[in-house]
Amino acid sequence: MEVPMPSAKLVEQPVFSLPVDSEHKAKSIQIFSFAQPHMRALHLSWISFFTCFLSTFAAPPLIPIIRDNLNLTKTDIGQASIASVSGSIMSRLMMGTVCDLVGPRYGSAFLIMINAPAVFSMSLVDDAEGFLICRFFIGFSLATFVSCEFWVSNMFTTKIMGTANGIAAGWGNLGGGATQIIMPLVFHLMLHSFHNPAFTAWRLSFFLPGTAHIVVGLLVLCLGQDLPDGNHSTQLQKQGGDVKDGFNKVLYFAVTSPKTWIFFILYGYSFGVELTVDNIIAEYFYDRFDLNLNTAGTIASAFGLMNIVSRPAGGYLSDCVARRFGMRGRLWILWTLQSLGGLLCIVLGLMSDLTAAIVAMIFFSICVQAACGAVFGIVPFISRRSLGVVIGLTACGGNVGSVLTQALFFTSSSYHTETGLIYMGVMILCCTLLIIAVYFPQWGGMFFPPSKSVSEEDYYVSEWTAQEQEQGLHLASLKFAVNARSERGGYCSSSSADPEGDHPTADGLGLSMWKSYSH
Amino acid sequence: MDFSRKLSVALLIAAAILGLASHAEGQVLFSKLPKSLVVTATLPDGKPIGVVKTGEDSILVKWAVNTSAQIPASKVKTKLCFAVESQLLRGWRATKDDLKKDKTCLYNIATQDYTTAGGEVTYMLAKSIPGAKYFVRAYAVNADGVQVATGQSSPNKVANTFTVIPISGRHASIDIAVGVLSVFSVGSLFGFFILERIYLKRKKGV
Repeated sequence: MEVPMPSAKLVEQPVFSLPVDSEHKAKSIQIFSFAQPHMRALHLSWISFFTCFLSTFAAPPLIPIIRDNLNLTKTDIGQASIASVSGSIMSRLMMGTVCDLVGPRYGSAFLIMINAPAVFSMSLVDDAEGFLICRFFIGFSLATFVSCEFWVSNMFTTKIMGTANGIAAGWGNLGGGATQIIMPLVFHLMLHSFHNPAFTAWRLSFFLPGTAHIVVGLLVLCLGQDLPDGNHSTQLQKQGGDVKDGFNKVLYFAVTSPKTWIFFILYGYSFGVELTVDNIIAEYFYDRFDLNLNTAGTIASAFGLMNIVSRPAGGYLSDCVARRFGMRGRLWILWTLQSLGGLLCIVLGLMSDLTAAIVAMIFFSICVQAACGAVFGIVPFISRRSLGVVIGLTACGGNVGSVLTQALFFTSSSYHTETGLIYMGVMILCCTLLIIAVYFPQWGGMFFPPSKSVSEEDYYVSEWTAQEQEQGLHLASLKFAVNARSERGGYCSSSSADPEGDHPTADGLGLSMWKSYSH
Repeated sequence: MDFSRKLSVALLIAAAILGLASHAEGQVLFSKLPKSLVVTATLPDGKPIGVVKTGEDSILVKWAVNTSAQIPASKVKTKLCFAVESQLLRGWRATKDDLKKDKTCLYNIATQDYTTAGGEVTYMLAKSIPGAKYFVRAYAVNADGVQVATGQSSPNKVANTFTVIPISGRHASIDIAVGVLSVFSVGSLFGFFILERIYLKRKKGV
């Protein structure tokens, strides 16, 4: 849809190396390219998220050494693990606003570089309290998930946003697995090649994630670009047409939708479980199966490393099922993946043979991470107006789930870690049943068909009052609603709405007769 | 999709069966071992140990045989073991009767040949030993490495234990490096921010 641009200076149309839509968002992904701006943004965002996972979970593989140096009890270790994931609950909520204000480039660079001193301070701790405080502050850096998703959403068009988001989030989560191999190796290097005593070697190992924070932060600042057309600060002047929405309104629509809270819990028992296991799995293999630090770390890393395919696969699977069965298919596939994950968690706790435990852990990781990807196949459809806040709340739910699970099952000395794993599996199975309560009026739920009287436009536009609709503030939601018709399922690609294609214009649909619908 | 699901279920069942197969190994139970050795741990000058530091202090460990019965041992292993106080809330140091699973004694002192006359060793505490309360235990092992007799310096893991003070692992150079790198990180971030603002203002002004 061409709009004549009244410009005195004729600006050259920038040349992009990828096909782009009218907003200059890329329509495809070329994974081995680092071209400015789209692919470079994708790579910088997953690398920055990877680095934060690397540092947040740098302590767990070294716990067997740290617990001796600092004289920690199981309660101390458990509380520090909880602290490591609870810090980012608030920081994830705030990151959405920060990205809106200064752009994702500054948002993530600020967070990474200001967090670096916390990572370095881990080398200085002497007791359980210091350890807990350090892990708490390092955990703040997990908010880069929000800037990562935000940046990728700015750069890629809606049709491939799911896959792009899955790749960025999945490869970022890899950090949690990679750190379980890297940190013991660095420790080994410090211990044997540089002849330090063990209690010094682990402290020196923390210089690696700390330096990574500085390097990646500088890379993001120097090489990154917020938007396809330039940086946030230069775009600010052009945003006359873009509406700065009221934060209170946006928060209201996010918080009053029961689906938001269901997904808060669901993500808590998929991503939250992943965070919990990242914290406890190396120590579990070290203690239960009597392995040395490097071996336990390598096995534990397999859990996080499955992210390289399993999370994108979950998102992709959700997209595939949606083509045939629409949103109801997405709900069913999420339930299947997450319940399988719960079952396999129980199996993992029951296995007392090393090989069996490793096999169970790998299948468990695939299911849990695919469930994470599938959650974000559904979350963007919950609300259009409050998308950022819904994503932020869901992301927080992940952390809250992890805090709760670790507090309940992995901090007390009254039962072993394997019992904790079994209970965690049971809890996953129970919480996953909540998917039954998810109902989209225009598409249906797991067991309920869609309501005939509600369409996608009704659902998304009802978030705007009649007054706001008169001002035309709802037009972006309308565009999205038309695109979202693909969630009805049973669609061939030719009739699915293309933002550039033959969908009726906003003027054509008229501004009259919008009913306010509470969802 | 269907085939891979069947395959994974089959693999899981196979793994479960393997997991259920019990280990057929000879168990050595601590409670069944004859307490034929007498062990004492003192400072090198003979005084009782109160507090010792790793990397600096040594302890003198003596073991003797207090039974006339023949013990089929070839070596005597002395180990540093945790007192009950240091095992609380620390499951990775738990005492189990099955010696294969027991984690009470994690640090080796010495391995010496078994003689009925007994033996002694002066041991400089290694820097890797954590801070805790300890006692000393000796195991007499046969040629296959299986324990056949034992003895320890503390009757109940509570009385007659000594405290070990560990190294902290920190050095002044680490402290300085942390300070420098932290300042660099925050400084370069704000420096970049300010420089970019100036650059943009200049661009707008031009």
